[in-house]
Amino acid sequence: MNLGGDFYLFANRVGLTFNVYEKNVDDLIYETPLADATGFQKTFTNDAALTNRGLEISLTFRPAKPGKDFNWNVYMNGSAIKQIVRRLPGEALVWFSDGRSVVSRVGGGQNNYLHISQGVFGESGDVPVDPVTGLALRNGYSTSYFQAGDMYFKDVDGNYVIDDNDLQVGGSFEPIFTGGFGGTVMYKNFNLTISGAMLFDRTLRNNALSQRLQNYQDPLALRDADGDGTPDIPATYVDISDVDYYTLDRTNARYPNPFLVNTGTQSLRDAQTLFEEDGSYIKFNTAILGYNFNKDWLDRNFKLRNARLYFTIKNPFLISRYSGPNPETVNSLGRDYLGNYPNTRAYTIGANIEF
Amino acid sequence: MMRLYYTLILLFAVLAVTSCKKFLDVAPADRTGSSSFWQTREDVESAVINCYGFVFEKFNDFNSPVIPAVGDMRCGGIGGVVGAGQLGLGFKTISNNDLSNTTDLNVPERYNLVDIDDWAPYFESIANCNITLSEIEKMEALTDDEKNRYEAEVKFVRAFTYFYICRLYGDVPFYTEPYDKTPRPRTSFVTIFNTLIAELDAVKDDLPWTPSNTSDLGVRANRASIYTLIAHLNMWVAGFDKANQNKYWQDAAQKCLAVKNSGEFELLPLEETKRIFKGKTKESIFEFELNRNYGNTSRYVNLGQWMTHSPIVNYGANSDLFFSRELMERIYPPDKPDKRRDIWFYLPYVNNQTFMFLKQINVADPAGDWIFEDNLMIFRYADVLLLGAEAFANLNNNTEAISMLNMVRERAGANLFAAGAENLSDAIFWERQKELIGEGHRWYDFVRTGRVLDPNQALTYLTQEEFDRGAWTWPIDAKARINNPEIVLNLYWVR
Repeated sequence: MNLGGDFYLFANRVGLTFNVYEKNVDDLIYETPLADATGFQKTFTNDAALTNRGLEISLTFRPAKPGKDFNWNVYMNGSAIKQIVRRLPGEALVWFSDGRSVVSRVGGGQNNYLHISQGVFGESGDVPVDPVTGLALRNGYSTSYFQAGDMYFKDVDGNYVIDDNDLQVGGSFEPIFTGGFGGTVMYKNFNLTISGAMLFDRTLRNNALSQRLQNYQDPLALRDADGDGTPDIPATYVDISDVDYYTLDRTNARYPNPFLVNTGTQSLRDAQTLFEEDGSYIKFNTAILGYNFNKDWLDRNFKLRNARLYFTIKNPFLISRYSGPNPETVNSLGRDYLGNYPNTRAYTIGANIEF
Repeated sequence: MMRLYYTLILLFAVLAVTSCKKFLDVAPADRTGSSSFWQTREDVESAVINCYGFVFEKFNDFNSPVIPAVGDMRCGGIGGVVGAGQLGLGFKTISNNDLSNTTDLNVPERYNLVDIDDWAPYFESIANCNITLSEIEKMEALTDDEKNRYEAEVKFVRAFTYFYICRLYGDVPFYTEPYDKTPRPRTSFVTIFNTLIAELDAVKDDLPWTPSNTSDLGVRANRASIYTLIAHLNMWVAGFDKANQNKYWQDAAQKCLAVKNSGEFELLPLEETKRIFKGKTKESIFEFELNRNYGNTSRYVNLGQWMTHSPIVNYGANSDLFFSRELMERIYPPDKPDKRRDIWFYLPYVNNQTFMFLKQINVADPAGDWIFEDNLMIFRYADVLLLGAEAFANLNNNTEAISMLNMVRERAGANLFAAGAENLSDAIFWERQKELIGEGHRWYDFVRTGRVLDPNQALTYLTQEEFDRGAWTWPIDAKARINNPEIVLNLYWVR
């Protein structure tokens, strides 16, 4: 189903194009894991289906009446999309993938699947104790009991053991709205061009931060820096003095104590809501300010055909509440990694001269 | 212009026709694709041999010492380096039947004792057998006779796999069709065993008593392997389906008697222990071959790895583990003559690490590492005789029972059965313990006869309540429930 329209109003000074659609995808091929007693590990099935509902909109606008010396136009485009899972293989209602870190639900989309962080234990006395067994909250059926400086994960099933049964549905890593914007202003020989991108309503997992902290827990371990699932290089020790982590004189910190070694509590695990952050941003990609010399004047004095001076800034600024370096350079599951390169800001001054 | 079009159309048509030629169907030179396999008799031969490989892989050193650990060590009486952090701790945990203590069970990690709860490899074997059976059925290159022979072999391997895992885990999901993806619930092993008995009964005479090629003796299923497996299936299920005990006993007795009457098998002199356990002898019924020359050596399929020292292997004067004096005295009363005790043990009652168990001692290199080349014995003629004796004794046919029992005793240089002085059923049970020690039978004999409930007989005994709750089973890895909500784990072991 598709509905669209193009409008041009006020002598083409306002242009609007939109497209509303609903697209059904049936017979989606899924790799379906099998029960181990079948003797096989997985099979392929095509019984999944989803629906994409979206709105695409593009707007151009000239605030001032086009003239000889002054021209101004602005554009904006965007796409809002909502993905709804209609059917999962074998009529399943929920589907876990990527090592149970992603959950898909019929009637919903895909979300992170993680532990809920409820704050750092200020002192060991705060750790809940099972009144039946007398054992403190622990990680798995092990002797890794939580203590001061550990994260207080929500014990959803109330058995005083933090394990996979306590995982909960978290934020969605699929952005609801993505778009671009830009504009040009021309005044006499000056021109200014700006372009940018924006993205709203997306949850990121700031694993760059969790890994930065984790590195201090096991200084000799090899790390998976590029996020491909295999450890490859020794850890790097990025300064964490800017992080509000637990110490003896800062017991109400936001992040757990990274120096709790020899503990299996995994308080700094990647998959927890502590590292979920809003990934919305508005970003200016480039700004170019140029000056075109008068052609007659050039021809008369220098026998030049054309000359232009310009000044460019790449990545001038980014408006975002994300605490990591860059909400753009994350993977398709919305995860930031310590190995990601930040975008660089570049300034260019240049001249074009044509003889 | 029109002419040009016609020419082009014609040209296209010619190309389209010629491209149907076979030169496009190139077979890969380095792989076997499913379309190029299952063509010749040799393909079937190698696929059938491969069926044995799947289940053997689970038993050998890349996994865990399933057979000695469950079959022998679980009965208790294990001493040696079994303290905290020592390499016998996992075995000690098994011998205490403390299987949910995965922390201790996992010491040392390299024995992978915690992975015994993973049943997936056995089901790979079963899935492979199911596919092989369906493909053999479709083969045109085989005569009906050849098809029957291969099918009997594969059905034996499949039934053996189910036999093994049902004794280990209790009820299991039952898959018999190729490419079956259904998540199935666990089927009662009584049902499974009855199905298997009927299935094997239909094919039991399709194989010869002994293979035409003597190098296949014992290592490929023969008629005796199938008869013995049917007997074992019957004897196990008789211990649980007590209402039909007589039927099972009769079937088992007949099958064992048929093996004996075939005249193809004999008990070798005990002095030739090394030859018996190297395998491929007249005593072999079914075994997996271990031979360094063929690249399949294994350390963990028998107890020699832990119960020998110099000069058998280069390991000082102490074994890692030993059978306690209490266990040894129960099995081999010190005042009775028995060549098995004298030949198979060094210092049998010493109760310390100078003890050695010398049943499987075909060591590839006594000056070097532990690489035992004794075949992994599954069924041996002595086992068949004693199983038959047990079945006949249960049916009160004492003459045949005593005759079979005495064949084994005579070979062992032990006193023949003295009616009146001994209880026949007890005598046969303990004869199996004497004869089959270290071959992975003892625990299962304790369980199926119910003797595991008697503290005077079993060192690691269970109460009736524990038995009924499934303490005789092995825990099942919780991953069996992934993608299969029908699976209920062995509840005795679930916290």
